[in-house]
Amino acid sequence: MSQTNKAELEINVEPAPFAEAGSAADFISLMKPRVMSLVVFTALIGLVMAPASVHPVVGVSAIILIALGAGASAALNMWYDADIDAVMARTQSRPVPAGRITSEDALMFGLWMSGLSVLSMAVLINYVTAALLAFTIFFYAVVYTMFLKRRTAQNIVIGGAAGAFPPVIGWASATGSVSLEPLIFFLIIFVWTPPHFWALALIKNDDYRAAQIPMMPVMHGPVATMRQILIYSLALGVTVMLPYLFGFSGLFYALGAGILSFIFIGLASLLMLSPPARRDRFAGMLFAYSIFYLFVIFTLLPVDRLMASGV
Amino acid sequence: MANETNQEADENGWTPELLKRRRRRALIMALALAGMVGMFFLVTVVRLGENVANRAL
Repeated sequence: MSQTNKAELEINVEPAPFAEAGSAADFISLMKPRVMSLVVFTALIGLVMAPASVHPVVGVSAIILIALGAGASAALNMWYDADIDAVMARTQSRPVPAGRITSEDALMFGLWMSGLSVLSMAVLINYVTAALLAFTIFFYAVVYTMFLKRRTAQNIVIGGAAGAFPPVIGWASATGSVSLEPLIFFLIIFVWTPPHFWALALIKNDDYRAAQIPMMPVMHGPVATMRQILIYSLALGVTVMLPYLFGFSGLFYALGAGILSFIFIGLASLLMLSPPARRDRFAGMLFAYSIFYLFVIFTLLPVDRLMASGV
Repeated sequence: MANETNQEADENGWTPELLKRRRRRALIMALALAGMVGMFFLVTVVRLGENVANRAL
């Protein structure tokens, strides 16, 4: 399987007879609220770490618009991926494959939300932030969803950039520009994404194979995937130290990040050494820990800043 | 879905349950739009305030 085209799958997603009456909750789930929470959180950290004071009303507005943009790209992703979502147990209850929202409604919802969030960002915040948000939506919905996901085992490595942009957007909403610090935040999420996602892909390997998505475990097997997870975990351990090495975070952050990374690498090593029968369990542990890890790393950054300022 | 199709539908195929969902969607959309209007108003006031405070005297 070199690549999978939408037409090759030939999976028919027939909307239910009353799909046009999808509930408000269905439209909210179309925006992937759990993913959105991570986007909002990292964008907020980017905003509060920026060396510029932002009026709370402007800051909250920027975060709301970033959340809307993230929701828009998620809706576009669900519109395009409805055929493969219908095959995978993890995703077949999503509104479009389950027939609660029509494909056309999901597309229109995603396009309108994209336009609304980007234009509002340009009018209310600044043009740099609007351009970054537009690029992020485009990268996730078009580059990742339409091109990378079905074509290469490196799909989530490159596509991970979309998820790494929120702290940069948060920073730009406060400063109107991009500098080294937000690029390091970007790099942390970018390097974190492959081990996080491949841990899930190991557990859901049968699902991805059935949907013909060339995820790393499908294309190269679990052993090569676990090796890659370990390599990226080591790279992540170095990357999270960059804020300290570049001098914009202190020893408190470095110690916390070091301990967290040590556990991350430990779990990746345990996964690598685990017998096949217990592989899913360790992969599940690593997946859950990776979410906790990112939340705590991004919490340590402002806490360290507060401690350094003597609060 | 089975319950919805069993309910009595009007000439356009809308059952009371589906109409209820449509009303709810419309209400949420109205609230979201009102929220956007409020956001535009508040940010405009804040921006104007900043410019007034920073004007050359």
